[in-house]
Amino acid sequence: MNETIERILPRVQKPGRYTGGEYNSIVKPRGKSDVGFAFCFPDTYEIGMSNLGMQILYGVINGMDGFFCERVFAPWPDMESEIRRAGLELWSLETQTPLKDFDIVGFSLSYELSYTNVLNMLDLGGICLRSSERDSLHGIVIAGGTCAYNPEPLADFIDIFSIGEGEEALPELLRAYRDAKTAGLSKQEFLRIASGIDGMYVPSLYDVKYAPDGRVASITARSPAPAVVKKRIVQDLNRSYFPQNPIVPSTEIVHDRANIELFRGCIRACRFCQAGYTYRPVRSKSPEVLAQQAEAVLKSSGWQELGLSSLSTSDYTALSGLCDRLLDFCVPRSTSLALPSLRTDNFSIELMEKIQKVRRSGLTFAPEAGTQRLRDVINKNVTEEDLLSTLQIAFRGGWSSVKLYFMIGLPTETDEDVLGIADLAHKALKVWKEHATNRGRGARITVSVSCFIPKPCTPFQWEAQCSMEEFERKQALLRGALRSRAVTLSWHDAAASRLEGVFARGDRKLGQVIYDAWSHGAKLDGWNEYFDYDNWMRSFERCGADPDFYAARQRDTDEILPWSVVSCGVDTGYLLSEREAAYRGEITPDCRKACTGCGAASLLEGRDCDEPA
Amino acid sequence: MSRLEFAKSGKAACISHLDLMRTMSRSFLRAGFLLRHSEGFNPHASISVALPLPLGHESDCELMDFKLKEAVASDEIVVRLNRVLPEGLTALRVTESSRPFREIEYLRHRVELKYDGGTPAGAADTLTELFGSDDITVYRKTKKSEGDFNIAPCIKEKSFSPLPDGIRCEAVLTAMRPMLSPIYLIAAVERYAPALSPSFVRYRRIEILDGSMRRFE
Repeated sequence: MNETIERILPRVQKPGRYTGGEYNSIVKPRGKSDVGFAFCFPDTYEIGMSNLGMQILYGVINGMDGFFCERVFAPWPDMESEIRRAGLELWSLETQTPLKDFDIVGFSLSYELSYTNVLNMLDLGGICLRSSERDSLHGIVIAGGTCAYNPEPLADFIDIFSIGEGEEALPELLRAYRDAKTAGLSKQEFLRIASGIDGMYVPSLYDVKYAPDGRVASITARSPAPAVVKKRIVQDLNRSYFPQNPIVPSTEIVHDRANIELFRGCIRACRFCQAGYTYRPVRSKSPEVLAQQAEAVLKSSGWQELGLSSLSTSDYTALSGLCDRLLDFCVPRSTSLALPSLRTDNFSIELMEKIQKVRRSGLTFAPEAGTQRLRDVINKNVTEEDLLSTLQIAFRGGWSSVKLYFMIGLPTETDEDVLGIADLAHKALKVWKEHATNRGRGARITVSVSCFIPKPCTPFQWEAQCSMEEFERKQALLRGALRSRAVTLSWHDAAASRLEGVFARGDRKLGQVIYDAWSHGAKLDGWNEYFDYDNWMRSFERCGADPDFYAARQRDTDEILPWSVVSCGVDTGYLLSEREAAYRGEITPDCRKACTGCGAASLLEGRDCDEPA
Repeated sequence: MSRLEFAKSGKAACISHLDLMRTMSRSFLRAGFLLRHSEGFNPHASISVALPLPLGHESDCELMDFKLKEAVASDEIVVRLNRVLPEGLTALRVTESSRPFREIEYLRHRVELKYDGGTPAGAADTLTELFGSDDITVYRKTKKSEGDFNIAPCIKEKSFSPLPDGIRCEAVLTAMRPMLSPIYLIAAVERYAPALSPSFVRYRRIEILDGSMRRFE
């Protein structure tokens, strides 16, 4: 570690975030012509290191001959001012190499409110922000992750977006980069080659024209870029790379545990859920592979908690048997299981006993809406009876606190639906009163209410988002209806949700707003203490952009959507039919009951969607 | 009860006490050793570290007590731990010790005062004189109290020697009754000899001592 950095560390909070040196982190000996990849996560170390995708791609790239991958995270403002004052450049944790010295800089985009962090990290790393200002092949800036399903708001800053799963796509892109570097190609020549790789979207090769009212009039791909970029997927999860030797942070992170991934995709079709559509088709890992990977990752990391991750863990067909196998290994090591995504319609006493074998973690369920009518509209497909009987099992089993997640501002929502949330919380409390085995500790029902944000690639991608005032009115309505002290209400900030709504369905014109807001100090917008809504509104005004045009406007179904240049494999016609079903309050069965032909199965080669694990 | 002596330096100096406990119990598991766990609602490994080291300070002599579920030779514990510890943590030796941590009386510290503009002339002499006084009062804040505090009685030994870019101070300070952090040596410099205020300071624990100034193990 150089002495300038060493001197800064005692002055900043949580200095361990900036040093690297964690167990299993990789410092590769470098050959002269090796290609360096900076894996950037546009949020703090504690958040970024909790991301399984990062651990996967870090291992994949470092496993490639001739390539090395190092990590970079967004510094907290105390560190940022130290970096700027000392005239340093944001560095990688592994070797303290400035960001600008890497061949490729890649960002993982998990949520829209991290966009200003992308700009800030580039700036701190000594890299020009706009793609058009960067002429050299060296320092290509790429991005992937969930937000890449609408890449347009960041199109000015990112050279290449990788759409979909990166395990195979990223190595392909990196090899093409190395060939281009060896051949001495220009950046422009490389970008054209990259646009020919499946799943790669090169925004500078697309001309977007706008109608006078601001809507997209046309998107034209320039040869050889494809008209629509289809996402990449891994065909066989059993054989795809899994990080058995993950980096184990020496300082506490948000999800401080080992993770195995049971399956990708989701058999449910909750109409608000972007992940539910974009991660299709459903592909499971076999219990044998999972048990082997779990053992390996626990042995290699020493973590004493194992997360069984997926979009809906209780939908894994072999879950019960898998848990038994895992517990045989975990119990003697005092290692507990964490099942973060459980549904109320298939939670059992048996499963409950398994997950509390070593230590009891919290229980969280997501009814999402307060009335059956609205749950049918969003196709959540759980009933009040499901929830209450699940809670009965949990309370009888000794749990006394439970978290319930809801959304407000869903399409067709009425005040009755909002009040239904309070009603459901009170019914949950009643179940506790009747069935609690542990009354002395009191009940704690946490009702967490977020603001619905229409997202691309979902049946609600055409909907108007609730106004901020309306969100706040609904929040107040709910607050007034919750009377018990045992029920705690927490809610998401309406202003932040509105901004997220703007960028989720934004177009390229928002690039200048992001730039302007960043240059006026916006950063860490996902953190309450730094989110400054008024600053953002001033930027919209300066740039002549109207946030309501993006968030609060219902789109016509024939409008050219900015993100129509990428495809997650689900047909737009299918999304439209789901939208119509939502308005009729009709539910769509899960994929195991009947295939409803969303189109994502066409991404599979020589296999079926949701083949038995 | 077994006792691990370990060093904590470089990047590991930025691991806080709580994080160190987690890192250690994970490292034992990685090395293939099962630690005994407490019973109860939220079982945790029964390990305890003597005299938590302040964040950012280095040490050659940290002590941690632990119990394994099965007996393992001391040397093997050291070898296998060193394969799985993060950068900056080094297992030095494992002993079976019955002496409780409360018999620790002193800590030997090495404090390096760095001067960017060159070491001021006569610094070592001035510091020797300053710390020879029997009244060295600084503002001290602990969990229980804050206010002026005379650190002189807590300084058992001290010596100052020049380095190419600063001064090296070796000092034996009380460790328990009361615990005097070496940061108060610098606070004293800043108060009594502000011209000698360093640009940067490195702190390192060298040795743990008992009441007879013998090495505590």
